[in-house]
Amino acid sequence: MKNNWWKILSILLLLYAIIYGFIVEIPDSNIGDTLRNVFYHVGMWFAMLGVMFTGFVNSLKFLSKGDMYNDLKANQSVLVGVFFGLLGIITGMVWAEFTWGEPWANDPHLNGAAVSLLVYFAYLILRSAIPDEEKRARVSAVYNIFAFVILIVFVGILPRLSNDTLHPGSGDGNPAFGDMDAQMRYVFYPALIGWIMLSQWVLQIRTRSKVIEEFIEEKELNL
Amino acid sequence: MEDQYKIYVVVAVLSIILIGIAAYMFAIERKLTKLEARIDDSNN
Amino acid sequence: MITEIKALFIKDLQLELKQKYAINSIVLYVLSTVFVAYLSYKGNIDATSWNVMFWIILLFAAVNATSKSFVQERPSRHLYYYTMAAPQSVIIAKILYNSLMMILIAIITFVVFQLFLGNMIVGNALFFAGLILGALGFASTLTMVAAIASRSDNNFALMAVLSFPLMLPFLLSLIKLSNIALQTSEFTAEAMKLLGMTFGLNLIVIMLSYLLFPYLWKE
Repeated sequence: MKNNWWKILSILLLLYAIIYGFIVEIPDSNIGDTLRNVFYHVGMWFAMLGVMFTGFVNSLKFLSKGDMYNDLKANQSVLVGVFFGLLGIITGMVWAEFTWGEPWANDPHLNGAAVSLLVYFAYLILRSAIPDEEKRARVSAVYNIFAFVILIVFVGILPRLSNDTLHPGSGDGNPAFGDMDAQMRYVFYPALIGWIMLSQWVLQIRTRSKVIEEFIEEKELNL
Repeated sequence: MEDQYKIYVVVAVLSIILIGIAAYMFAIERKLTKLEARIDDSNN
Repeated sequence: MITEIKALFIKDLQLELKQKYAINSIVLYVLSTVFVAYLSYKGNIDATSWNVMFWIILLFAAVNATSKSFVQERPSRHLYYYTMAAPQSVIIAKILYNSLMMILIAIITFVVFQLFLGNMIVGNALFFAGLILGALGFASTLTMVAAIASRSDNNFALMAVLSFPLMLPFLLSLIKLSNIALQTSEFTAEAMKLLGMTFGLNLIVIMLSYLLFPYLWKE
């Protein structure tokens, strides 16, 4: 349990977000109670960014040290990140149907999210196209670094430059949550940290089971 | 029960689900730890 | 380093001048696609479609032109370059060569568009600023992607899958930029922002290529 304190903390933060997220007073607006979605939907994107960043760091580490473990972890990061990204898109579509009247409003945030997912799908295809392990690790690490930079451009820079976004608060430098009052922020930031840590936890489980799987496969080859 | 308190029922359900999933994930992790220990044993 | 880049650049240029394969096939490609567009629009095309057609045709021409960057020569030749030159010189020379090609292709596409679909541009300076920056951006991104794809067994199929999502930041800001150029000849604040954005993206991609290419190059 020594190294697991952050997992418990993550669950506590999410519990807090679920309980207080439903009870907190939210400012009156035309979207009403659906504003509470912001505690959960935005969390998916931050979870994705968090694990993609882990993948980016692992790709950098692989290129500098050449440890195959870093390649494995980068690959798992992309898989977990894509999962959270898809959750973000689906929850966003449900929310958008109610607030903007259509599941896919033509909005820089949405398009950016979709395209960055495409970049990561391309990463997975690239991996499957190179049979040699060492070469695959090197080439996909290079592409992953590229992909992360593009992801940052898409979610961090492009939406702020455009004037026609439907998401609130694009003018004041904070892309997705401009006009949030202090009360909501007390729920929002802990929720984000909770989601980020939860996704890291999922990533850890995936990585560990993948390491075991690789070990077993190697054993079977040697038999 | 008054209307404004009914939301607590939803909050309670969601909290139980979250705790349940967390406990389940810890159980999976314990299994992984055991498997890793077995791998270490077979390596030595 | 400068001499290496120069030598590699001239080598690529001479190879192309001897074969004339790439540029001829691109001219044919651009001609035929624009002709199809001309036939289906029957001459009355609106500005938005003109703009989108232009960039999409240019995008595909760019992918076609650059996909052979690292596979047209035999692997033994690459081994020879590998021992002779620094990897940074190789990628810079390729980016420079592909940029030259892309600017040429952009101009050819533009001229063919003038012939078949007419001129819709109001702000010439703005449009050409975008065109040059866009050509450079296409070239640098696609050179790096071609290097990545050449490491796999299925170069041509991967090239499209890998490059399109990476090109989209460029493509989106360029389409917006030339949309402005189709309406006004002024360098509006929005246009300057988009130009700066394209320029910044160019810098990022070239820097990443410079830093990462050595890892792809070693075999």
